[in-house]
Amino acid sequence: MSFRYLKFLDQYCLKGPHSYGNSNNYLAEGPFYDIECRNQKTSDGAFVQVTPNTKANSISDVDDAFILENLLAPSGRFSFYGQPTDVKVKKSMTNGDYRIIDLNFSTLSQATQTELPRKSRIVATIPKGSSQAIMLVGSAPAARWKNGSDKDVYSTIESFRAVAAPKSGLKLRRKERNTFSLDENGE
Amino acid sequence: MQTNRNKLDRNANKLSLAASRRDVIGGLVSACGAVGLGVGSSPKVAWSAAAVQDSLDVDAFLRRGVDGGGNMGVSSQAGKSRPETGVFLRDGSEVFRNKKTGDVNAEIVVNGNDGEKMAVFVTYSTPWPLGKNCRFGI
Repeated sequence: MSFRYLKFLDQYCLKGPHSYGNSNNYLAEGPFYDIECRNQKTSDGAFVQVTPNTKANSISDVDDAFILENLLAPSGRFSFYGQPTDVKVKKSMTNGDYRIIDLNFSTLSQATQTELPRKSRIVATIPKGSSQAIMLVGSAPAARWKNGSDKDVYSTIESFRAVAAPKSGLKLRRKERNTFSLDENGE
Repeated sequence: MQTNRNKLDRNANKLSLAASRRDVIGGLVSACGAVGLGVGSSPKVAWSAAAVQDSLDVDAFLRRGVDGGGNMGVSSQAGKSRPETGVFLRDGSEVFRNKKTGDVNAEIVVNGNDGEKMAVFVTYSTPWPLGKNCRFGI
């Protein structure tokens, strides 16, 4: 690894304390996550996903297949080593503006070279005025589901809210995803 | 005549010195080569497998039910691209999590029914920390 590359990492990618061998440096905190919280040890976690245009007026008009098609897409969060298999919708219900889906599936694992069963609960809603559905996906390994992970996932899903922000005169722009390009000032 | 002979003797001495220096250096080089061949002839162990996970701690996996994914090296991160979640944060905003309450807040930009962009506040409460580092997995 060249000194220039290390300097680049140090300047743009590395924050927080960590160490390379005996040297004190900074923890690599790359902007790879969007809105996600997860336990690194157990892999229990929850993340936000946004669907394309639903072409529906309310969440009750949206088909479960549309939601799952986006969640389990080849470029999706659970598709690092291939799309999830053994997908089963256990329960689907609409409660007011929120759709709740219980889903079981298996993800392909690099380490075990097998499929690992996983359980999840999804909550989706279409905020007023939006054409896209926003959902929160909470999941945990099936082996840990009854050992407390289910309660954490349920409480996280129940707390989810997505509401349209008040309109303001400020310009509305999207933040660029994962750009490492430099501007004219080299920053 | 005498001076010429002296000069010839001196030149002969210089030549003999130069020859002896060449012999010494040559001997050193050949000795180093021989030592190098002797050391290099023994087989060396390749330690490049540190970045490749070729085994699984089955007992740990059965006990915890967690696939650690192995040590994070070049190979374990290779081919992993950033997942597409469709989330676009509002420019100027950040994802925030209150460590005491576990509340997560973010402002994202979505497409409105009228074709214009609109901002949406997303919030939830969770016991897990905010994912930030490069070591992402399922």
